[in-house]
Amino acid sequence: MNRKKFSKKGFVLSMEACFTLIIFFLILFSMTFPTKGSLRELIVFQQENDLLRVWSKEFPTEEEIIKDTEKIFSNAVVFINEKEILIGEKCFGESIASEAKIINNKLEEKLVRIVVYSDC
Amino acid sequence: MAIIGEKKFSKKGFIFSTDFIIAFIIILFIITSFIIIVTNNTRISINFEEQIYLEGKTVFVADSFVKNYNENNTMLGACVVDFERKRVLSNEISSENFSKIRQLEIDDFFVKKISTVKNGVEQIIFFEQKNSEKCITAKRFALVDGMKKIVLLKGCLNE
Repeated sequence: MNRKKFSKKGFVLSMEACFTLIIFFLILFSMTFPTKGSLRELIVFQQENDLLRVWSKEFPTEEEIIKDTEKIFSNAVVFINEKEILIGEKCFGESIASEAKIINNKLEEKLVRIVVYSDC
Repeated sequence: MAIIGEKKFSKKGFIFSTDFIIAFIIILFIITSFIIIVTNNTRISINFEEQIYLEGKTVFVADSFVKNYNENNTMLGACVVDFERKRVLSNEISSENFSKIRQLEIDDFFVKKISTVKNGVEQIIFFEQKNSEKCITAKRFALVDGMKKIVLLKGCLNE
């Protein structure tokens, strides 16, 4: 090779081969894989809104609030006037929360907040 | 005349070096991998798009059903209307509106079933005979004739 003598055993990689390998890895790592979109956040938000709207009309007791929430969500935390009630497992991932102030005919207020956790 | 190593080449011809062949094979491998990955990604993207389309349509029709009132087709709104105050009472559904439910088809999308669930008992309000395996169900909560019920709306894609 160009009149050079190589007396020892070894590995020879030409410059073109090196460039080819570099380009190959650059193309491989630049490939983006499609990510699955989801309307999950919107769905959860709509369901929370449903619960709050129905409760604003019915003005339910604490037990009824827990029962209604369990029908829709498997993992949530409900706050009734800052009192925390856990439904299912408490997770520490992403959460979606909605809050409403419910007032009955006697002008009694209840501040209700629903926090739904995803991917427990 | 070319001299490569100790050989002399006096005629025109083709010279192939080993590293050129290796590089050529690697390039072919890169191109093949690229084509396979792109084809696979395209197929996955099409499936995701279809799923999002179905999910979107089902969610929006279900939302319309429990939040609005539509006198022509109560599938797009079955809520009670307060004519005195001139407003729709969201999440308050009247069973009198169920008789005006008509089938809804938007491009490939159609509604397969609408039902309500109370204490584990399902009551079917609307059902379409057409079969499809690409379906999704939206779950909502509303008052139906003053009673708290879960409203299920199943949307499907034509196959």
